Amino acid sequence: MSNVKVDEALPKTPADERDWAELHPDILMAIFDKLGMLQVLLRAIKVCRSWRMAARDDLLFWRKIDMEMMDEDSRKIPFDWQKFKIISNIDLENMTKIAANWGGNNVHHLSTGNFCHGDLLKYIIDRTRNLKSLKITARLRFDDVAMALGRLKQLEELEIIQLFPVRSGFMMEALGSECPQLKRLKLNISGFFGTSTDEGIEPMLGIPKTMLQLKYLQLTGTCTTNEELMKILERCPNLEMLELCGSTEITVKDNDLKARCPKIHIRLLPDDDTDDESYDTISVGSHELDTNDYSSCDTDDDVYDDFYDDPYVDIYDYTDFYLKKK
Amino acid sequence: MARSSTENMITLMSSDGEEFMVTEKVARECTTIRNMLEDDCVITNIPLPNVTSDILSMVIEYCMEHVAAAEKAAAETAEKGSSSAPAAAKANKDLEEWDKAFMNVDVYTLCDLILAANYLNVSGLLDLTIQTAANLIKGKSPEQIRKTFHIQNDLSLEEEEKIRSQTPWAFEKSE
Repeated sequence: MSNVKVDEALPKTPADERDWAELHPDILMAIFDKLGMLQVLLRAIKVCRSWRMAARDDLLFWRKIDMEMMDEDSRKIPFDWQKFKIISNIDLENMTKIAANWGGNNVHHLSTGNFCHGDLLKYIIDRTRNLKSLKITARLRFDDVAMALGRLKQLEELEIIQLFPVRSGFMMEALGSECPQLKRLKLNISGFFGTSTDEGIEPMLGIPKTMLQLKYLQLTGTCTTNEELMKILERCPNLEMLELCGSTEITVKDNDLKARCPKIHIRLLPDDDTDDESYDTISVGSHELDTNDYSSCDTDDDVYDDFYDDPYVDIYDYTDFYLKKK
Repeated sequence: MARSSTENMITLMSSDGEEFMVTEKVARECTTIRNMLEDDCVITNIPLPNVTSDILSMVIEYCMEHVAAAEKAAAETAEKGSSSAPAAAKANKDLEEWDKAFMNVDVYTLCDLILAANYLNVSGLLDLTIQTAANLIKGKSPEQIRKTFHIQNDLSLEEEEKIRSQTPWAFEKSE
């Protein structure tokens, strides 16, 4: 049995001995970890010097910069397509800069928010040269992305979601030459368009030189042709996993694949359903596959509308763009 | 709940000299104390110079509640062969409610509880108090946070603006 009871009558320690500003940085950081990066940037670092210094000097905290707004305050940040900026009174751009400055070369993982633009990406990349993984969710121009990648020689993991439409044929080519260490690559570029030539549709992703390190490749959307995919795979001999999401054009033959990538496994995923938990339920082994059953791609009409709604789209010569037919 | 009368009792002594007698099981909720007991199993009296009696009593209250909840769950499982999901869910919810009520303290007490939970290494209590502190920060302006935690603003305007005025990014043309 215990004799313990809360004794209300006990004298309390004087209040001034307990100072929230003087908490040990480790404890402050435990609190800040619960808050998440956005709340820390938005609130905690503006409270007092010791809180600010605790956050600034914690190298682990900035190892992963996620500006995708994983936060109930701003889970959905509306985007004004007319003015081409997010509708928010939060200075997300400045917050991102603080994170990049404080994290510096300790930042290993970066997810840009949908507010990221070319100049901001350059600002970040210029300070975080040791990035190992990068996720780009913003509608950046490919030129900007290519420049950023050219500076990230350590990059092992890259995810690109829906860039502006670019002239075809650049993507894989650039990645292969700019990021020799790349091990994992996810491309979600369902808005891409191939260019039409006399011979038909030009390759859409381009063919990399070689990507010896690449172990994992995920392609979402109708962003490549069967023939092109085989050429890409030829340059990625160590590929172990290929995931195709919502591809209607690809018909993969087991033998063709094994000849190029001996260790390869392939999975077909429904479109826009790339959450980790969905993998197991729909994964298939490396067998001969008829992907015609997986025709849940975005309707091309939507893609087309999106394309012309983009205010930046006129910077491209879009007469070149070929609306890929199903 | 009936406890075996042979269960070891441990005396914990607060910084202000008050003694608290608790079962070994409750004391073991504090990893710091558990480690001491494992190093030296005959120890029965543990001075805790960093924890005042009012805070220590709260920490013990927390540990007792959680030990009792765990024992109850274990007893139910043993009785029915397997724990019934709804009963377990209700027990969890009850404990959460208890935690929530337990956290109805002023920020000074909360600060002391964080320090004590950290020192005694009571992971559940540390997590609870840290989360409570985080919740007090969420959604508040910096000025409101200072008011809540009684913190002086010692940031100069200069410091507040420092980040903004950092060397502006010079646009580089792509090659």
